[in-house]
Amino acid sequence: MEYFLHILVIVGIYAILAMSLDVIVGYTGIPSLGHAAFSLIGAYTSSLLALNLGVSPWLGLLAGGILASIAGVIVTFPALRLKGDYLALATFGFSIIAYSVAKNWVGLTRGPMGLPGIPQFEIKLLGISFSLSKVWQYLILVIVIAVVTYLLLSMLLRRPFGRVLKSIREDEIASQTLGKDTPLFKLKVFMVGGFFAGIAGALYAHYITFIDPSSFTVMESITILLMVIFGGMGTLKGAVIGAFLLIVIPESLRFVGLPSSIAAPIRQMLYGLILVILMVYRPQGIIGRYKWK
Amino acid sequence: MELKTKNEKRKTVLRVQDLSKSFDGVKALDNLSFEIGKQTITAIIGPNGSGKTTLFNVICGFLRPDNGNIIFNDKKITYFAPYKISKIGIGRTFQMIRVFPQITVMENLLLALQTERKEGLLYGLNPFIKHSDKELEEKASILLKMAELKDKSNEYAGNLSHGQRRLLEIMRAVALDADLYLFDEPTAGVFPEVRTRILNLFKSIKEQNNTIIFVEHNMETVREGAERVIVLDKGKFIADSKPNEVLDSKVVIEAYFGG
Repeated sequence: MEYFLHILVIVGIYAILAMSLDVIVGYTGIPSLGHAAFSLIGAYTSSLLALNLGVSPWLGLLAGGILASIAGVIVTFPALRLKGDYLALATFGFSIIAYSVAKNWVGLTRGPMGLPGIPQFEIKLLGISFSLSKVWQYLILVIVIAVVTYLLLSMLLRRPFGRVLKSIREDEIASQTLGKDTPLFKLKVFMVGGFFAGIAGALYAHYITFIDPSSFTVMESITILLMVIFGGMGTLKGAVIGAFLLIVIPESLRFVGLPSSIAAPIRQMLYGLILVILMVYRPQGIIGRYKWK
Repeated sequence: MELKTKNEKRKTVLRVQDLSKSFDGVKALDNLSFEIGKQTITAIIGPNGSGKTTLFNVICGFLRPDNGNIIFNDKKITYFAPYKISKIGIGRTFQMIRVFPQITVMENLLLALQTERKEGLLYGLNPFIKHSDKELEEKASILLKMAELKDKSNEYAGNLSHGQRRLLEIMRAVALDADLYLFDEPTAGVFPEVRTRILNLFKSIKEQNNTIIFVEHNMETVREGAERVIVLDKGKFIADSKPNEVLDSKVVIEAYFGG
């Protein structure tokens, strides 16, 4: 039972990651290849604040989101006026830099040894204080944050701001002829996307209570991107569905009963096959309405 | 500053001074100078490669001129970014239609109608404000009715026919309530009924006190829609007069069919 709850916690964290990426990729049409870097920043910020300065994880969560958001601004600012593809390369480059810093600045991050013993969330209510140490407790926290994320983002995307994002995706030049300062909107999009990805990273850190750079590699960024594409770009529900399916499908393939010697590679091949089939027959994703141009 | 013509004082909306633009040594615009009066409809015609679209792109800020100035309502706008040019009152359509295909017709118009203040991030994330598009949707409906696109309101713009998309792109520009409209081949490839609708839209725009410059290859449109025709050839003006005079002039015919 705890195993299933654990899977749901992971799904919840990835749902936040996928939604935050969908705003950038699916709604604004910017191929962003380094999303894991934002969750890396959120995770390390919150963990280091807690471990070194005793900061409460609640504040650490917020700090992680804010720092990741600032990183989003710093990354995109120089690349804003470049053509779309170059912005994608900039995000990719940034994710490699973030990973390298985490891995090599051993004095700060303990490098590949990682940060163990990350404090858990604590709730102090009516004189009683307890840690969120049980999986079901954490699941409630993650679900609450995921739902809040969903509500805030869907509200934002329904409003004029969101409409401008879609216009940038559809035709940036036409958008400019309607008076939209498109580079500024792109900057704001990375602010928002980075913030929620940072929150997701911090949630991960205080759950697993150990982080190391290997959780935030390029493959991670690509996995999150696949969740967005798979579930349906340009719809938040699609991002959540994508996160769910791309975690649950590989996990459930564990139970198919393959001989242990070939189980792992076969799982990976099946996983890849499912993705390919989907991209051929339904490139807009499970519930998406928008196809990559 | 006012340009006095014969019997009336008319304000100059656009003044282009000594505008030049070259690409790889080829002069697309060759020291162009002209003025456009308020509430006029001017057509710019010329053979392919004469510089018409380049002129629009330079005015709208997508290209920097090599030299020269562009003055709009007495303001120098030569090096303004495209979004700024739109904000100060110049609306534009494109030769290759640029509607937003994967969003609805209504949303296309709302993008032109919505205010900058409400497009902000803080407004968007504020859960204590109740936002409604209703007022803008009503304004948009009026525009859609004018273009006879009301029943397509919830259709994805990409699913519209060619003529409907041209109408949508024009209405979207009109929704900006601009002082000056630059239409690039507004009636290209449309059926006669749609052409008539577009010409009627030109009339309404003029009645609202606004100004139109349009590029066209369709001479019917030019004859019926324009008050003044300017002819461009190899980046230079070769004629500037009333439609009938220009379209029957030898110089112009040679430019199109000659060497």
